[in-house]
Amino acid sequence: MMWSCINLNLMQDHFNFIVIGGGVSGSIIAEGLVSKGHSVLMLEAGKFFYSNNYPKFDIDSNSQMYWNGGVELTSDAEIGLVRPKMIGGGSIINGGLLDRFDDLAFEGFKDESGIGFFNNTDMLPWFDKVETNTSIVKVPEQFANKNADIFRNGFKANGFTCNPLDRGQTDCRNGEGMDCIKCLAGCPINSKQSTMITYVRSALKKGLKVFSEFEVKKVEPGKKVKIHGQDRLDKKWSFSADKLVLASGAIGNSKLLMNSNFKNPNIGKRFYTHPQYMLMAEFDYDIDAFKGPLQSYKSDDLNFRNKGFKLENVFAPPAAMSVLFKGIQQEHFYCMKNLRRFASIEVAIRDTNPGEIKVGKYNKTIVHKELDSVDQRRKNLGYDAIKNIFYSQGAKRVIEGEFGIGLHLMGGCAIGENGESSVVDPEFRIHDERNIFCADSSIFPNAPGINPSLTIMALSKMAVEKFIK
Amino acid sequence: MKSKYLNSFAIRGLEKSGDVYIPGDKDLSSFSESGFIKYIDRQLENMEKDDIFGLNILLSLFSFFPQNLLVWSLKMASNSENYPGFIKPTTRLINMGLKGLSCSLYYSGLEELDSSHPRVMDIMKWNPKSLDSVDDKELTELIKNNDFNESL
Repeated sequence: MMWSCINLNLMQDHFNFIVIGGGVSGSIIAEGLVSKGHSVLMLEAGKFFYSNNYPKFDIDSNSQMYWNGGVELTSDAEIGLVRPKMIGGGSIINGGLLDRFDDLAFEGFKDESGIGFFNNTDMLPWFDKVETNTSIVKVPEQFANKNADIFRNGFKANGFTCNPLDRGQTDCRNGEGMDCIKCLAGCPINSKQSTMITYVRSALKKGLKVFSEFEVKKVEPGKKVKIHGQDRLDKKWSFSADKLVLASGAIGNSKLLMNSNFKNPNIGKRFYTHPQYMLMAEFDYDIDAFKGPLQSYKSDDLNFRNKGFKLENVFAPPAAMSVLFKGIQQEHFYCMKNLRRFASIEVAIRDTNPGEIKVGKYNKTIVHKELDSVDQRRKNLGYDAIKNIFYSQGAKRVIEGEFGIGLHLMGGCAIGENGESSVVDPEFRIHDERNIFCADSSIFPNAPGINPSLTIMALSKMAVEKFIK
Repeated sequence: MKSKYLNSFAIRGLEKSGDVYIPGDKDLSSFSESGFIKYIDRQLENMEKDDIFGLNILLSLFSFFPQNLLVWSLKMASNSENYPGFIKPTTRLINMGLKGLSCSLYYSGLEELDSSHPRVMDIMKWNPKSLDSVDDKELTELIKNNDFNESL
């Protein structure tokens, strides 16, 4: 394929840094680099979405804000992978949970990668820097809805421990009538601390250049790294940079490296997702899970942690819930028509069995990801705990969701000291490539079992210092 | 109706399979009666081309099924836990794909666009509130000045 090298008057074609992917990691890295005076181009396949143009209807947010129009299924169709596609990435559409890793998570990373900085002492300054720039608060308990009440009271009744969750937000104005379930398609009042709010705006002010709706097809290593791709009109473009940062996530980075003929056999391997399984419980009164904060509590139970799962207080808009309810005809229709009477809790497991990302015909994403007996046991333990919680609160019945959900897409370009078993080195550089770097969730060597956002942010902050060293 | 992505047989197949998941009752009309299918292109506009190709074939085939055969087929597809080999993921994919298409159209609140549609959210009493969106003029200006996509 021939790629035209273009230098139109409207833009330059060489930069100090090019960042591929405008999600959580890409936003922070781009902001860090332009703050140090570097010329930076961010290439992002998705659009800019912010408070002025968040889609109103779920059908549009599903179609426009995710890859392949919503959900991509694993090869056995057991897990639906949800892959955001926009500037700000997952931070626009997630629940906003921001937790530091505990010692168990970092020990797992250190054991797998051999890298010394994976501990809470070395990571502390980077967490501090992120938390200085992002408002993280306890979700106010006075606005907790009945879905959250069931979660909290059920935990108490069963002797489990839960606590108000830490969320990236300023003031969600729930007392004025704001229902945060809307925020799953972007927070219209700019309370949720997406990286669009906390980093991209600042980066744009400092001179960051962006090419949105631009899909990178191939990278060429060298003294100057070349990048080839195409815009929304299918016009081909080429750019070059002194250094390239890959920040398009586990699947995006893995596919790009494979499509660019990088030979490291570890690319695409060790893929983890914290598979999440929602259970819905029917009550004989209205729960109205859409009211107030979407989530108020998190499981904080050491016993759960040691057994490899956690429970989350969740719900989703009707279009998403409809896919989770099993059955057809009146069985399914009844659940949807009576959605107000359902509560929901999910179990997220710390998966131990790695998956693999491959590229199929027509550049199709193929993800093999199955639960082994250890993972299945963790899932079952979570199911048991959820059912105990629901029935202790008077549930009429509990329905298991139709499939698992993969929101935390991690690995595929695992970090490690040893180039024989990893893709990225401790300096966040692709092994044996001088000018290509990566610091997003794709470098995770295994599943931490804790929401990854805050640690991705901290690692990205750390990585900027290494890139410019 | 016409679609940029689905042929007329596939449209009919989607209406028929949508009725399996959304049969309607005394309060709410069925999927085919609701008229929401006219928004199908909004849903398919970012789907991969080969997925749309496969969807056209499957739905066109379903358009010729008697309704009771279609109900039986989708019932089998929704009970795939113990199916062997490739049959299980294939049937799961069909079930979830068709359920996702029809239910996303029906349960997205699209009745706000046309008063002829059933008032699904009102009847479900699903009415989350939202405050007015922030008019972020600063970000609008920054994007306009720094995104090359704006110059195309």
